[in-house]
Amino acid sequence: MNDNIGLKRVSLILPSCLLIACLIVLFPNIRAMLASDYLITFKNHFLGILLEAIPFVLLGALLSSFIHLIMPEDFLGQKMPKNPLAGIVIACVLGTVFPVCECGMIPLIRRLVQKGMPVYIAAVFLLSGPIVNPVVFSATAMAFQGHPEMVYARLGIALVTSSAVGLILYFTVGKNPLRHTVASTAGHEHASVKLFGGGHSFRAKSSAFFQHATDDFMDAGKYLIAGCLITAVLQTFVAHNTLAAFGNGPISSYAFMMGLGFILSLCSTSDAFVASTFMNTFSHGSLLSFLVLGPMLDFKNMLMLLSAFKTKFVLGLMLIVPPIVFTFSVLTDRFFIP
Amino acid sequence: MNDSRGMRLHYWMQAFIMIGFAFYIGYLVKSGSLHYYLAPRMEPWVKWCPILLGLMAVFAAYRAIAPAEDPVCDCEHTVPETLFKRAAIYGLFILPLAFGVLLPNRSLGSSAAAVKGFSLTLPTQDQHVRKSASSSAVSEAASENGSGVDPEADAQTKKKIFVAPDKYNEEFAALAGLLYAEPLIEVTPDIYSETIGAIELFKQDFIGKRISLSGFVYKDQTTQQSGGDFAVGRFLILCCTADALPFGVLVKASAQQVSLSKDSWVKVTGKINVEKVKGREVLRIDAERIERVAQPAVSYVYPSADSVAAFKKDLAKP
Repeated sequence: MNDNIGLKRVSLILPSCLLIACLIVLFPNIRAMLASDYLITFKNHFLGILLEAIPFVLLGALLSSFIHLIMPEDFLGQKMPKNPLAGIVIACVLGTVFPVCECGMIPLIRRLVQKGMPVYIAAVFLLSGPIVNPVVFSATAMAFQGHPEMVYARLGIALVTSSAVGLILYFTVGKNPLRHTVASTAGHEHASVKLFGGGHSFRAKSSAFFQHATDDFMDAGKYLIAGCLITAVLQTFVAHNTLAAFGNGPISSYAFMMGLGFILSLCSTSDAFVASTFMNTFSHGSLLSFLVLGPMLDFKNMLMLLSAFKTKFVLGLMLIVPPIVFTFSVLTDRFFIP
Repeated sequence: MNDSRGMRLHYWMQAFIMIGFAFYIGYLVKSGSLHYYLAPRMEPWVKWCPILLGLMAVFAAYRAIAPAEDPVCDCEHTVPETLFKRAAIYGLFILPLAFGVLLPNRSLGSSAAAVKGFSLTLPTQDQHVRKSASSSAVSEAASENGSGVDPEADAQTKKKIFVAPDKYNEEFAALAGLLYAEPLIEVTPDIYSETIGAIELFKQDFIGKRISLSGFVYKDQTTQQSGGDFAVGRFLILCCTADALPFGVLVKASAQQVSLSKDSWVKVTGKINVEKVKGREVLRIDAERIERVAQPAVSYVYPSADSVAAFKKDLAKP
């Protein structure tokens, strides 16, 4: 540590101390001043989305840490089938077995890819998992009472879309798209801690478990918070019915509903209820595009994906997924919805 | 890597942030203020978070003071080198805590309802079902009266059988039957949306029935242009406040009662009526009495798993 860095630190710490001191002195006044309607609405949305997501991100981080500690590197690379279709089927089944919502999914996916799961399988799991599970199925059925075809159409489109994206990725993605690869282990001579075997103490094992989970939680958390922040701003200031004015045409209603799904970043168990409020305004196909795209890609989700994958890969997903969802929603609306 | 001062500072910050979140969530749970942000069905998930976060904080702090040769591999996590980047990340985590501590807990109000779009019907109820329901229910109920049961005795006991338009609305039909038997329908918070939904489904039958409900005063262009004076409503929360659905019922007050400002909390007692707003029939209450009430501790309403059972439980209470 040289003096220069020390000086830099002091120059940052001093003003922030002053700021905190001011805040404490002015605290009662600031509290009253800040309590305006918009700020309260913003706070309620921001903390609402965040508090809803935290348990699942935490769960995802703990699961990810657990997998890290029991599986050797490239364990899944050897176990996974080489046939892409078999891989996609496995990923779809995984989604039904692990009912983790999209927030918990991302730390888990990152770990699975790091353990050698092919990226296209991971992507299918990531995209279908939040929709194809019993919890979301029953929530959608409750929201669309009397319209069972919407429930099945949602699941069907989700499966077909994620499989199509999986196939596209199978043929296009060559390199590992993870942001941080494990190649950096070079230079670490010590044996890393594993939960079973390895001769480490219980203390070392438990601390490794929680420390990895903390790292995962912080990595995903910073993107989660940024996503919640932007979503909350949009939810506070953008009125739903001014948006609805844009969605009058047959095609633009799809664009509107998909855009809404992207912006709102709702949990996949509650978005069906929000969608059902648009039942009179928009076609069933556009509601389906909302129900499928929202859980697959949304603002919060996109930022969290950036914690795991390279920017290029995330942008690629953003370009591939919406047109596929759009196509299948339109087709379903034309041919399957009475 | 483990022994550098920068890394140790990072671990201290991790511990600090984790303990901060643990305390804040713990405070929300303990003080019963979680309902400002989450629906009750999400609460069990959040309750165990403080314990896990606390454990993670302890181990992060342990890593900050642990000897350098401790066998923890953190190779795949890189810590941003520049102080500015790190400060930004810590700031991002501190932001929600700052919001939580600095701003008071307060429920959403009219301004949020306007942005989300205030609905004069129960938003979760399917419109198509509703249209077909009200007509079929009336005729079925009438035929039920005609055949078998003596109509006069039926009118005296104020019993009516409501036939659900489809199997999804059987609960609403059963609830409507129970509500119909009441001389004054008290809309209780635990089955608020179900009560409104049941009355809406069979609104023609409920015209003239007396009802009493509380909520916040909401006014906008639609309520001004309609035959009512304002709407009284609630937010229906499904998971978290982000998916809150504001909805309510039009109220027609007599002339001297209309000076209510938006967001004030009132209890309205009056007769059920129906009005057409933008081509759709909605409920309206012709108020007999409007009284100001204090905002309830939990101002939001949530979907009930079994509204009929909840209604019977409410009745059993003195």
